[in-house]
Amino acid sequence: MSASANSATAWAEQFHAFERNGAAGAPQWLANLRRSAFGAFERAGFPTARRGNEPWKYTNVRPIAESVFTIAEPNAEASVDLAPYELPCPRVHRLTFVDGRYAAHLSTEPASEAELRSGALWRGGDGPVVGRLADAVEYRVPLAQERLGSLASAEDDAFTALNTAFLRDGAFVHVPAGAVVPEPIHLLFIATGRSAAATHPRALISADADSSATVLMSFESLDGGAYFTNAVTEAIVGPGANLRLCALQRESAGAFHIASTRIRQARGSRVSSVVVDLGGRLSRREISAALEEPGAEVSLCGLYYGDGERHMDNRAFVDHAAPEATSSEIYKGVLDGASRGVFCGGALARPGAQKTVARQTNKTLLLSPGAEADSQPKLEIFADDVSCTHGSAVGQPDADALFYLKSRGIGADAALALLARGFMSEVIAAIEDGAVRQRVEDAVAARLGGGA
Amino acid sequence: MTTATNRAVRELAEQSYQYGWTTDVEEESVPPGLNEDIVRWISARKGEPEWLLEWRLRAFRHFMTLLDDARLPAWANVSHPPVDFQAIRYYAAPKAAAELSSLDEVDSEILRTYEKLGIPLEEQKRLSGVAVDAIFDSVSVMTTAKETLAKYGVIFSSVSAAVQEHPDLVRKYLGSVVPYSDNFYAALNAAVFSDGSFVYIPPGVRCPLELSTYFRINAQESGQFERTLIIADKGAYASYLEGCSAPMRDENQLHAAVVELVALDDAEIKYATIQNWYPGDENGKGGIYNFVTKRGKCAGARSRISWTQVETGSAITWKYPSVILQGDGSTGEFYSVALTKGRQQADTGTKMTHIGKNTSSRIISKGISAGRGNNTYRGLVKVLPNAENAVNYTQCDSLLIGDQCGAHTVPYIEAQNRSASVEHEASTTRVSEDQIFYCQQRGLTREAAQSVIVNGFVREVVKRLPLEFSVEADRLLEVNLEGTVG
Repeated sequence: MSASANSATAWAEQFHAFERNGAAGAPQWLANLRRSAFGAFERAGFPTARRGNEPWKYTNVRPIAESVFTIAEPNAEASVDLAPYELPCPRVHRLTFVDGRYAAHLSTEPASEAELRSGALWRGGDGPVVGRLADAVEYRVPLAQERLGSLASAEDDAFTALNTAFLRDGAFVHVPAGAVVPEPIHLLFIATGRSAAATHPRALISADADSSATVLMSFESLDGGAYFTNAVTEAIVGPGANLRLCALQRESAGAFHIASTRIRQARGSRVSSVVVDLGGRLSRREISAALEEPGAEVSLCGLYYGDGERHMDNRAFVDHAAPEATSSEIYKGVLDGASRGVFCGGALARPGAQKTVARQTNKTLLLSPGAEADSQPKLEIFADDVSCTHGSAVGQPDADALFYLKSRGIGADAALALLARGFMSEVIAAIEDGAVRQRVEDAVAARLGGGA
Repeated sequence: MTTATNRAVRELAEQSYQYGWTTDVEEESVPPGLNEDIVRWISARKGEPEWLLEWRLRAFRHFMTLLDDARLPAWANVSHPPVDFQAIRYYAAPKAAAELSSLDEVDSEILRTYEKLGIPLEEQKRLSGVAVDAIFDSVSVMTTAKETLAKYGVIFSSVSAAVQEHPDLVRKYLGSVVPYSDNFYAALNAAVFSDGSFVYIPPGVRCPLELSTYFRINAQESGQFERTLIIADKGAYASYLEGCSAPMRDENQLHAAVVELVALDDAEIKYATIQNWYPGDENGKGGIYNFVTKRGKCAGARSRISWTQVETGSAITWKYPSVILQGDGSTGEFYSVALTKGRQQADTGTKMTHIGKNTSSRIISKGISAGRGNNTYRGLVKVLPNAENAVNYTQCDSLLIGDQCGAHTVPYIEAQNRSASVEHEASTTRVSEDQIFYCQQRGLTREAAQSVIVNGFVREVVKRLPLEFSVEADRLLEVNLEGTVG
C-alpha cells in the first residue's frame, strides 16, 4: 500500500473515532457538516502538482499527504509562559488555544457558566463577544449555526474539508452593529510541537454593520517537531464595518502550516489584512475576499521571509462582484538560503462590476543563489470601466545601497538585514493597530537579526 | 457608456470580413480522417525520404496516444466544442501545383486570388523588396525572387522542396526546437504537416529582401498544418513576415502550424505575423481555430530573435511565440497586438526561458477586447539557476471597448537565480474619458479621438513591423476597429 493510501486509511479511522468520542453530543447540523466534509475530503484527496492542477503547480504537499498525523491530545493545564507572545498594550481580548484546545487559564475571556448560558452574552450588547466556538455551538448561538461553513466550503479543497470534518474548537468573534472595539482581539494558537500532531483551528468572525475591530491571529510553537496546523477562518463583514485582520505565523522549522481565510464584504465595508509568514517548513496561505456590494474596499498585504529549505506559498484573490469596489494586494518576500517563495494574486471583475479599482503588487528580494521566486499576478476583467493594474518584480538588493551602508561601517550581513527590513516596512506599516504592529515588527526583527 | 461608443461598438461588431470569398480551383484532396495510411500517403505524395516518414509515424503514434488518453490541452481560457480529428481533410492541394519554375505555370485562378489579397507574386512587384512564398491549402504554389536570393546563398523555398534539395539541413534542424512530443497540436502537425517555408541564411549574410509567406486556406473541411523552419547561421540576419486569410464558412476549420527558428552566434531573426484568418460571424458561427506552436532558439552567443504579431483574425487563437535564450548574451523579444471582437477568443502570449548568461528579454503585449470578445495574455518568464544576470521587462496592457467583453492577464514569473532582474507591469482600462475630452477640446470628434488613442495604444508594437508591412497592419487594424476608431 502506498504511503498516501496509508495516510488516507489513518484519516478515515481517526474520523470515525472522532465521531464516536470527541465529536459526540454535537447538534445534528454540525454532525452533518462534519460528515459531508469528510466525504468531500475522501473524494478529493490531497492535491497533487500533476499536470493541469494550476493552484498546486508550485507547492507539493506530498510530505503532508504521506504522513500519518493524529489529532493532538492537548494537556489542558499546560503551563506556558505567555510573555513572549503578549501584545504590548494594557487591554486585550485574548483567547489562547494550546494544540487546538482552548486554554482558559491563558485567556482573558473566561466567561462564567452563567454568562455563557444567558443569551445576553452572545448577543453582545455594546461590546464584542470573544468566545469559544465550542461554547457557541453548545449554547445554540444561532449565528454560529447560520454562518459556520457559509464561506469556507469543504468542496473548496482537501484542507478546508479536513478542518471542517475535525471541527471541534476555535474562536467565535462577534462584533455587534455599531460597536467599536478599541483594544485588539488576540487569537493565540500555540503548538506544543509534538511531531505528527495535527490541529485544525477554526475562527468565525462576524463584524456587523458599522462596527470596528482588530483581530490578530498568531501561530506560535514551543518545540520544533514536524506537526501540522490546518487553519480555516471565515469573516463576514457587514455594511460599513471596518475589520482589520493580521496573521503572524511563527511555526517551528519542521512544521506544516496550511491556512485559508475567506472574507465576505457588504456595502461600504472595509477590510485590511496583513499576513506575516516567518516560520514553518512548508506554509501555504490562501486569502480571498468577495466584494459583494458596491463601495466595499479591501487591502490584502503580506510578507514572507524564507531561509534554509523553507517553502512559502501565498495566494490572494479578490472577487469584484459589485461595482465601485476597490482592492489592493501588496505582497513582499525576502528569500535566503534555498528557500522558495510563491505568490499567486488574482482579481476578478465580474460583468457589471464597473468602476472597479484593483491593484496588485508582488516584489521579491533574492538574497542567495539557491533561492527561488515564483510570481503569478492574474487579472480577469469582464467590465470595461475599470482601472486594474498589477506589477511584479524579482531582483537582488541594490548594490549601491549596500555599498553606502558598508561605507558607513555597517557589516555586510547587518546591511542586508537592514535593507530587507526596509523593503518589508511598507507591508508592516499597513497594520493600523499600534500594539499589533509593534508585535510584528519585533517578530520580524528577531527573525532577520541585524539589530533593532 | 455613451451613445457614441455604443454605436461604435455595434459597428465594430458588425464589421464584415473582407477576405471571405473562395477560389474555384480544381483541388486534389484526401478523404477526411486521420490514420496511418493518410500519414504514409502524404509522405509518399511528397516523395519524402524514409527518416522523415519514420518521424511522422512516431509523431502520429504519440498523437493517437494523447488523443486516446483524452490529454487535450484544456488550460487555455477558450471554449469550443471538441474538434473531430476524423472529420478533417489532412491534405488538399490545387491540381498540378508542384513546384513551378515560372509564374505562367500557376493556375490563373490562384494568381487572381493572391492579386485580390494584394500579395505581390508578379515579376514587377518583386521590386518592392519582398520575396514571397505563397501557400494555398496544403502546398506552396509559388516562391518568388529565388534567383536574387540564390546569389547571396540564401535558401528560400517550401519545406517540401527543401526536403528534396537540402535534406541534411532539414534533418538537422526539423523538430530541434519544437519536438513532435512538445504538445498535442505539435504532435498532430508533425504527423501530417503538408508544407510551409524553409529559410537558411548562410554565415555572415544579411538577407537582402524581406521574406514573406502568405497562407491561404481555400478547400472545405480541410485543415492547414504548415511547418516553417528558419535558420540564421553565424552572423546572419533575416526578416520574415507571414500573413494569412481564409474563406467564410459556417464550420470551423483547424489551423495547427509549427514554426521553428534557430539563430546561431551573432545571428538575428525578426519574425512578424499578421494573422487575419476568418474569425467567424458575429454569433460565433464558423471561423478558424488557430492552434499554433511557435518557438525560437537563440542557440548561439549574442543571437537575437524577435517576434512581432498583429492578431486580428481567427475564431480562437491559441499561440505563444517563445524564445529559448540558450546562448550567452542572447536577446528575445515579443511584441503583440491582439484584437478580439464579435465572439472571438484569443489566448496568446509568450514564454521566455533564460538559460545562458547575460540574456535579456522584452515583452510588450497589447490586448484589445470589443464586442463579446475575450482576450487573455498568458506568459512565462523563467530564469534557470545558471542564467546569471538575466534581465526581463514585461508590459502587458489591455483595452476594453464595451461591457460585454473580457480581458485577462495570466503572467508567470519563475526566478531561480538571484542576479535576475524581472519586472512585470500590466494594466487594464478602457479609453479614458479624460483623454477623449482632451482631444475633443482640440477639435477632434469623439470617434477621431478614440482612433488617435487606440493607435497610440498599439503604436509601440506596430512600429516594430518591417516597413513594407506596417502599412498592411495599420490598414487591418483600421478595418477591424472601424466604427470604434471613426
